[in-house]
Amino acid sequence: MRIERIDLKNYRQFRNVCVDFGKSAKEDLHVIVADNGTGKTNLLNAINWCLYGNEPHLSKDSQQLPRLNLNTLVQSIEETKQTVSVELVTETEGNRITFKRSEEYLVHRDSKQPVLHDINFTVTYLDDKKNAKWVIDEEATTYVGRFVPRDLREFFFFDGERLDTYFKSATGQQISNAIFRISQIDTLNRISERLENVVNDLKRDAGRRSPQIEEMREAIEDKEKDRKEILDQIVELGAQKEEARGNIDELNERLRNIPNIEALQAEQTRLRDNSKKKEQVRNEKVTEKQNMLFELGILLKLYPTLQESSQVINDKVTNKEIPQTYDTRLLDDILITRYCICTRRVEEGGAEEKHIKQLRADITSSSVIAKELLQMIGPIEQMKKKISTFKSSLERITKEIQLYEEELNDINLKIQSIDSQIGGYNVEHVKQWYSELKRYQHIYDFNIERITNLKIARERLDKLIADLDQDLNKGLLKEAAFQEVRHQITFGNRASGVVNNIVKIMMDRVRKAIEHETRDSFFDLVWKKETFKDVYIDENYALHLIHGLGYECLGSISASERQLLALSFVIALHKVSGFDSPILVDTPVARVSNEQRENLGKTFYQISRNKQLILLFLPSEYTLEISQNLDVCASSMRKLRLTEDEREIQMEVLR
Amino acid sequence: MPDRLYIDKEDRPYYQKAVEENVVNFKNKNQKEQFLLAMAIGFENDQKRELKSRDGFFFSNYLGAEDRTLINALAIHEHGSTDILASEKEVFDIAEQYASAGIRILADSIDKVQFGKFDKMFEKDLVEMLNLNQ
Repeated sequence: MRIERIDLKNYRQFRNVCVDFGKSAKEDLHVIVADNGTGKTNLLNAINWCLYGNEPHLSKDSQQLPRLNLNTLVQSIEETKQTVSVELVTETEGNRITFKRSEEYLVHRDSKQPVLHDINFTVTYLDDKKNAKWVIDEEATTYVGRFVPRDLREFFFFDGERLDTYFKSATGQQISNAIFRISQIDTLNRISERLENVVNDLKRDAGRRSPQIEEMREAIEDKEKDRKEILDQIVELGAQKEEARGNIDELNERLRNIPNIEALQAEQTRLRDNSKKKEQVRNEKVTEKQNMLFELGILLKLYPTLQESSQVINDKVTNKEIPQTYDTRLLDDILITRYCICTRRVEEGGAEEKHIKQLRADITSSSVIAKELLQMIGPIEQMKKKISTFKSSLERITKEIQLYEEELNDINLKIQSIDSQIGGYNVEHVKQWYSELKRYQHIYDFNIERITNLKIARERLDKLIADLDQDLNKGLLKEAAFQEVRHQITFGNRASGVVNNIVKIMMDRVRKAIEHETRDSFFDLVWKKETFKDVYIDENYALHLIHGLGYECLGSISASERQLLALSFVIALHKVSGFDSPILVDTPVARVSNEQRENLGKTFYQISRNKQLILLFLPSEYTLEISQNLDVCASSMRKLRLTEDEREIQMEVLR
Repeated sequence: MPDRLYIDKEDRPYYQKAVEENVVNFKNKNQKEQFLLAMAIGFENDQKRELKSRDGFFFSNYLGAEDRTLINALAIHEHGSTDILASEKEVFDIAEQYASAGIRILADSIDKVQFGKFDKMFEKDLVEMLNLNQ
């Protein structure tokens, strides 16, 4: 199948453009080069609009504009009808089939907003006698389905830039559906469904004739309904699980060489708290040492005086000068009685009295000194003792402080090490990624648990349905009138089982074949071949890319590599399915690096030998790496450019 | 009987300096303790200074047994006889004169030593002294 021509009239910037895709070389390759905003993507939109009635790749700016060409609109002087149309002339299954969609607008002189008046979609083909026939409505849509089915169009007409995000948005279920549809296994599935309907009709028919049979049939129908609900839930949860897995892989990849900042920050906080506590104790010890030094300073500096006093006191004690034994009571009695012990009278104011009073004063003074000296003995000893133990105390506390300093240094080094580990990362982002990872992990685990439970429930229901089927069979067996029906039901069930098995086997084969082709294409295309080890599609149809070091890396590869992988997958789908519809890619190498472009150029060349390939390049994409492969083999080359008023596109045919 | 011990009014800024620099935890010491250290430093350096303008620094009843012993010992050493102990005023005078010289020496040392290194130097001197005395 191929597109022979696209005829665009009044469609957006294409006022009247006809693009002919005649095949003039062995390769059915067509190149269109155009700047941004000069109609490349709108050509993709035009095909989509013509075939499916919508424009999925429309830019936000274009969404504000009418579909009707602006020059046509502005130049409509009087009230008039204007038509937008896109005609796609194709070669489908050996027949020339033309798809044409048109919209008729009423354009008022005063209001420049066109009013939609009529819509038409027609398909024209040649019948066996080469007479032109045309169909509309549902029948026309059937022809579209044969050309490129609506739900598969993203594998045929796509934007290269969006391929980058393909695996991010595609779940295993979506890939499975694509494989299912593109491999045309759905025909078998329809057979299975039809067989199941026939069997159900037969049961219903039997039920109408016997209330017991009807009761059993209804019970089976109820259980099957439950089973279907469970299967739907399994599919839905499977999709959610796969999406979560994809996100987990991507986040794990993103976080592969990034430390767990949240854990590190928690560790840092713990270390800082510990550091604070240790610092406090260290400071207390430092103060204790300062106090020790202060006291020791006083004692040591005055130590010679203490030694001297100690010696003096010792001498006095040895000489019995202290403690004093003088008793002043005798002198006091003399002064009161006025008689000395020798009975002499001591006259008041006399020389004796003066002598006695002086003697008493001297005794008092020396006893004060003696008292002071005696009071000094204890403290001197205590202070000497202190001095003698100071050295060890000082050493002990110095060592303790040193230990705390070392511990604090260690802690600070750890804090600094964490700082350097965290440094350079956007902490908030990383934290958010970790929190998302946790969330997706929870979703993944939760869905696995739910799916397991649902599978158990489904198995239980399977057994119940099988038992009920057996009961029904027995019920039918009892009545001679139901023999024929019973045989038919048994046959239908068996046939359905066989078909389902074939579907399973085919799906598995197709999956393996696509996996093989994707792997081959990817390793052909990718520049860093040693970086990757394998590509595989698991039983849930999730695509995995394995790094040379053995870990999954789909989430972390560059946009360019992701685009190559998606392209490889699309190429594989086409190859395996044998679906020969044309491929049209907008900006096919936008995100592909120069190193990979040469390989990609060769791949385009290879593809175009077996099917039509239309590539819409930006001038910046059409580099030497690409052009050296495509210039030689392209059947047609065109350039699109805008007119000066930027409302129309002109096409320059280069080849 | 003197009820307090005095410093020179001019000594105040030197005490203040030692408090500000907080050498050997000086700011957390009471005035009696600050006085005794200054006195010890004065004695160590054999420096005394007559007080020009007396400024009461702390009450004598704050002096404990060890404090009195230190002051007395210094007075005995200075006077060369225990008789000095008969006059508390004279004993205190000697202590005050050494303290007045000592606090100036301390303030001067603080200025001379690199910031934050005073305690280290102080400790080193003491350890040397300790080794000599043991």
